[in-house]
Amino acid sequence: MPDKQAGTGKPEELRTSLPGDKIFRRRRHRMPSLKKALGVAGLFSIGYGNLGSSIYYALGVTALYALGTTPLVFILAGILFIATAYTYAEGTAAIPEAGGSSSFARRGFNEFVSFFAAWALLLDYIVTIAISIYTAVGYLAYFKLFAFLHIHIFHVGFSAGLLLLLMILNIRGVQESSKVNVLFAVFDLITQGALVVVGCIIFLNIKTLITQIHWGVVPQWKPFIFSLSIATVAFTGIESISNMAEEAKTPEKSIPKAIGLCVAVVMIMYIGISSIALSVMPVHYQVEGYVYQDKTYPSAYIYLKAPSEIAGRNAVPAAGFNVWLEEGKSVVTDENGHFLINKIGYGKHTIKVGDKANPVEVISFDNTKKNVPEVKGEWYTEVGTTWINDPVAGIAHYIPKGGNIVAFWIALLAFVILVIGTNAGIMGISRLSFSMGTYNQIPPILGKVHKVYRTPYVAITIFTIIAILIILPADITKLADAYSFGALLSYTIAHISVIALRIREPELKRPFKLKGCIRIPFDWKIGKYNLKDKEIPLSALIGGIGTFTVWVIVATTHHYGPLIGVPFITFGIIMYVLYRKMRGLSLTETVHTKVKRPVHHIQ
Amino acid sequence: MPVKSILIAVNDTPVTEELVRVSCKIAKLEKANVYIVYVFEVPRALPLDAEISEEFEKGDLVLEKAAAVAEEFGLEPETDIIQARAAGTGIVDEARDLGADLIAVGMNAKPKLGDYIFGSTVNYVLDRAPCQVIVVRNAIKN
Repeated sequence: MPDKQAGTGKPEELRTSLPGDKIFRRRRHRMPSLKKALGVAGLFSIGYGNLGSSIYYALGVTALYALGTTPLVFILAGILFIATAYTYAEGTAAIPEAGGSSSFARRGFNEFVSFFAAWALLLDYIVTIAISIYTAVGYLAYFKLFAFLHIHIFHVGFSAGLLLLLMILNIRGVQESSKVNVLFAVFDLITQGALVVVGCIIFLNIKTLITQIHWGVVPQWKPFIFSLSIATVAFTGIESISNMAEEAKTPEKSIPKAIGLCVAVVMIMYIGISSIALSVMPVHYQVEGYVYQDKTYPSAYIYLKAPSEIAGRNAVPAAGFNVWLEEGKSVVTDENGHFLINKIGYGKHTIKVGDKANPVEVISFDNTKKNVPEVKGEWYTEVGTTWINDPVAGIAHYIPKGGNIVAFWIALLAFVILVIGTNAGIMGISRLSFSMGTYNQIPPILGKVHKVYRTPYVAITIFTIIAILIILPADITKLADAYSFGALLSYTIAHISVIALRIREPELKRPFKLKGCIRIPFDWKIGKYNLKDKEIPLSALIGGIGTFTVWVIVATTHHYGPLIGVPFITFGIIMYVLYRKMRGLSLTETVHTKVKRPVHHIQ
Repeated sequence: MPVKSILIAVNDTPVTEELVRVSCKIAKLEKANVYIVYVFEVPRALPLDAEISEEFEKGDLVLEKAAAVAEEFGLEPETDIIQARAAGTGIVDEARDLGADLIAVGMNAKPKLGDYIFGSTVNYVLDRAPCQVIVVRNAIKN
């Protein structure tokens, strides 16, 4: 036990006292020992508990835009995800501290960049808890008892109520059972794995998957690119393993192994489940419109006009009228004259209205074109419409025998997993706020710990309330949008920090080192650092450029993400600068507050 | 089996003094080294390395008292504060790190109806300890 001896600073001759001897014992003056308990399995279950829960919301929202290319979009986003995961593996194995990208940034750059990364991560956590609880309630609505949650206002209200409850539980110091979490992560893994196997046997249809993609038309390029950015929500929790680094036994080995395992399993699940979903609920076209009857001339019809366009005209809704596709599919208008024909294939079609023997209106359209001006129509898959809030339950719903039971189980499991994920997010906020407080990145009030419950209650309260405010005006697509904004920023910082660390500290011990590096062959000075002969990991470089490009897409084409993200980041920076100035601290230097412990002398 | 080192896990409950006394008697007989540890269970809402001054102060106080008892026996204990998510894992891991031959843990007398039930910490230590374990319970006062 050499460290213990060194810790006491006790001379060897005083180890055995003799009668009459005075005892001189200097109490050790060092930080407490930390007992680390997580191995590869524990880290994997934490990572998969977070990442595996993302599919319950990411599938629907991605399919809404990506349509038939959803599996492909997951593969493309997955490439960025893999690069990011391995960047975290190198950084975390070298610097096994909680904080992930924030810790890398501190060493790779300075305290300000570290704060920026931590604040972006905080935004991630806030949106993660918002999106997780919102989707959890979506799965709860699958049960008849909770069917009222299909009404948006109840959905939002119930989500906010649950978040408040979790907030109070976390302030009081919820005794999270890691055994229960691991158990549900295992249930989740088995259920998703079984769904992939059974789904491949019953549903998977490669021909359907291929024929529903028509590049540039279904989907069009703009929503395709949009879907790429929104698909990053699929990898919510990628940093969770990294953030548990300080609790890992032999993190230099266990972290890369756990990350690699998570990457492999998550990619299989995403590609498998999305392919099955698109086989079961393939992409179709739908057309909707209204039929009106002229009051004065009842035989005259006005077709495809919206109610607002008909205002002031001498017409009434034509209820109970036949509307049909020439190839057979027929519907009847409702009391408002509205009709909707779905499951229309790719090609030219004709819609007829009125008496089948003698139709009065005939409209032809061609949905193989980018724009179909003749009708109000759109391409859709039920994964992104009917089942957008609970897409995995949607797949189970289509299982021919016992589908209802499977869907029941999946809805229940998804609800529990997502609530656990929400709770993990709140705990992430707690830990991160506390750490930021100790590094003087935020005012002490935010990191203040409750005297009785030993939890940072101010941070938990403020950031959970922000999450509730984000949910109130939102739906699943807006929440995914907001998540992408913060997450991509965090990932970009992680990539550039790991690259910066290669330049600043090339000799740093890296138990896991990214392979495939480019060596800078010429003199290239940035500040006091010469990049010549420095090794830059290619995956981090590509990952960094990729995540930053997608972030630019999010920042410039999405609405809700920047609406939430820009004020949050701006407020954070202003608060950081003001706080540091008030304390007389440099913006870029690390100032860690350590609790002072007395040195005890007993004689 | 000879006992060369004893790990005493203390806390701020009444049994601590009795636990240290009993353990020190064994240590004296066996000429064993004594390690006294106080485990601070860090809530999951905080990082494992969270520095909570109140906990340090409490731990220091408990360790001071425990060390004073051990010194009455002429022993020179080493003391330490450990931070762990659960006391049981902290104690067992420390025993493993130290190569302790005996772990001494305490439990408080709680006269109840029915059988006595060990707490989760004692249960964990009894279940997972790599060495011998003694559990000391304080006397029930009439």
